[in-house]
Parts: sequence; structure tokens; C-alpha cells
Amino acid sequence: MECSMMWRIFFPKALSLALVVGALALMAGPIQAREIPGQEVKNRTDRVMNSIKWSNNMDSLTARAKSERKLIFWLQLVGDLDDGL
Amino acid sequence: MTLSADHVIKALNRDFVCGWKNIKGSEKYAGKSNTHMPEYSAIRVGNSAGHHNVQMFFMTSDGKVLHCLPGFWSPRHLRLEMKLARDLAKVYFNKKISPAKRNEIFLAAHLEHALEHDSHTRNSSKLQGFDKSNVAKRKESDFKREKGFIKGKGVIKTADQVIHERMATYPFVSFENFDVAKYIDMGLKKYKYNHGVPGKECEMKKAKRSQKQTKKKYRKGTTKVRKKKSHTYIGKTK
Repeated sequence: MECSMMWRIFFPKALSLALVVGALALMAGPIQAREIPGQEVKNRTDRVMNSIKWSNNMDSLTARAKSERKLIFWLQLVGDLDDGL
Repeated sequence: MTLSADHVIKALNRDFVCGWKNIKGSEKYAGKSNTHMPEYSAIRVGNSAGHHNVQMFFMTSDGKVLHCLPGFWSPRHLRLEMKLARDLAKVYFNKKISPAKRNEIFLAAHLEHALEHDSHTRNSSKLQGFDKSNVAKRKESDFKREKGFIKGKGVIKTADQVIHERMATYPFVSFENFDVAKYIDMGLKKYKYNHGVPGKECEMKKAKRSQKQTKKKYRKGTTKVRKKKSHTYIGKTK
């Protein structure tokens, strides 16, 4: 009798908690599948071009890295950074 | 898209001087996917997707490669890898450490990353389906668990693991001597689905549609096969 009483008390609460968690998970959505619209892609590309000082010349980059005591980040890509990739 | 993240821009400006190069037509290992303009839509992909199209090198000021990330990487994981590069740079420039010892540290650091990445990084670094099929078909590949430092049978490793295992064999190698083609070999040279490329993206939709249809047919077919077997059995007894 006691077991059935406990079950009646806790089961609805457990069920509602599971439903809330499940609903939140569904609302969050599959992160990996999210599409980024073209305009946003362009905005982000512009940001990358304007926020970082880029160079195409490895020799000048090496000299700058030594004088500023920094490391080198060298990006290779098929296409132009601010154009078609 | 990763490079536009605030913390990535901040880290790049603080610790690095940045350069880029268009390798189209100048390097044999360059990818062959269709051109994706900045205004085309994009989808999130796993770490190392597009390995032949993009490579990010982290080097010392005298051109020694500390780390290389092929393909696209999420901002979160890029930050962790950048930290490794900075840590290795400190080892490289520490005059108190002998060249032999610093190479040991380089090896250990990369292997530690290969072994110790968390589940989120692993799950975010799985090869895309067509790449996975390609490496699985090869007679020999360090993506297969039979090879490499981390052994086991029949499982394809994740890209983050393989990258670090490969990097471990290039201790402070100069950029000129770094075998990029071998390092970035993780499957196909061409992105199979062309998402976001107008006129080309139907291949992905077609592939998804045919997968759905195949699954539906299979489900229907399973029920029919069961019924057919019992009917045949009854027929035979007569």
C-alpha cells in the first residue's frame, strides 16, 4: 500500500520533469544541422577581413613576427579569403 | 565562420601575425570542390571537414610548425588547439631545454591531446560520411585502429585524434619541409554535397531523399517478407 502511494506521488512529478527536459531539448535543436544564411556568412567574412591585419607575404610576416615577438598564423585556402572559396 | 568569433579574433591579434595564401592551382593537394561565394549560405560541419580546402598553420616566428589544423574547426576547439600551439612555442624558445628534450615534449604534448580529448571534441571531429567510407576502403590507413599509437579493431578514429598522432611525428619541422599533402589526407579531395552552391546543392537533397525512400521500402519490405515466408510454408505442407 505504501509503495503504491509513493508511486502515485512521485510518478506524475517524474513524468512532468521528463516532459519539460524533452521539450527544452527539442527547442534547442540539432546544433550541427543549423544553416547559416548567405548574408550572415558575408557579414562574418567582412568582419574577418576588417578585424585582422592580413598579409600574403611569408617573408614580411616572419619579419613582423620577430619584431613583435608573436607567432605566425598561416591560412591556406582554395580561393580568396574575401571572395569565392 | 570560426575566424569571425570574437575570442578567436582577439587571440589572433594578441598572439599572432596573420597571413593567408590561395593554393588553388599552385598546390597539388588543393581541394577540388565547387566555388562557394561569401554570400552563399553555409552549414555547420564537423572539425576537419574540408581538409583539402583549408589548412591553418601555427608557426614560430622562424617558420617552425607547431600545429596544423586541416579544414574547418569550431571556435571552441580552435581555441584549445591554439593554446597548445602557444605552449609549444614557449618550449621551443626556452634556451634551457635541449633540442632533443623539446622534441620529446612536442611528441608527448600531441599524443596527450590524441588520447585525452573530451567526448564533445571527439563527437565534433568525426569524419563526414564520404570521407569515412573512403578511408575505410583503403588497405592501410592510420584512421583504422589497427595502426597508430592508439590500437583497437574495426573502428575509424576521429580526425582530432589522427591529427595529433600525425603532428607528433613532425617535431618543430620547418614549414618548407612539412609534408602537407600527407598530413591533410583524410578522405576525398572534393566536398560531395555542394551545400549552398546554387545549381549544385541538389545532390545533397537527392541523396537524403533516396536514403529516406530506401528506409521506407526496407520497413515495408520487412513486413512483406515475413508474410510471404509463412504463406510459402503453408503452401509447401499441402
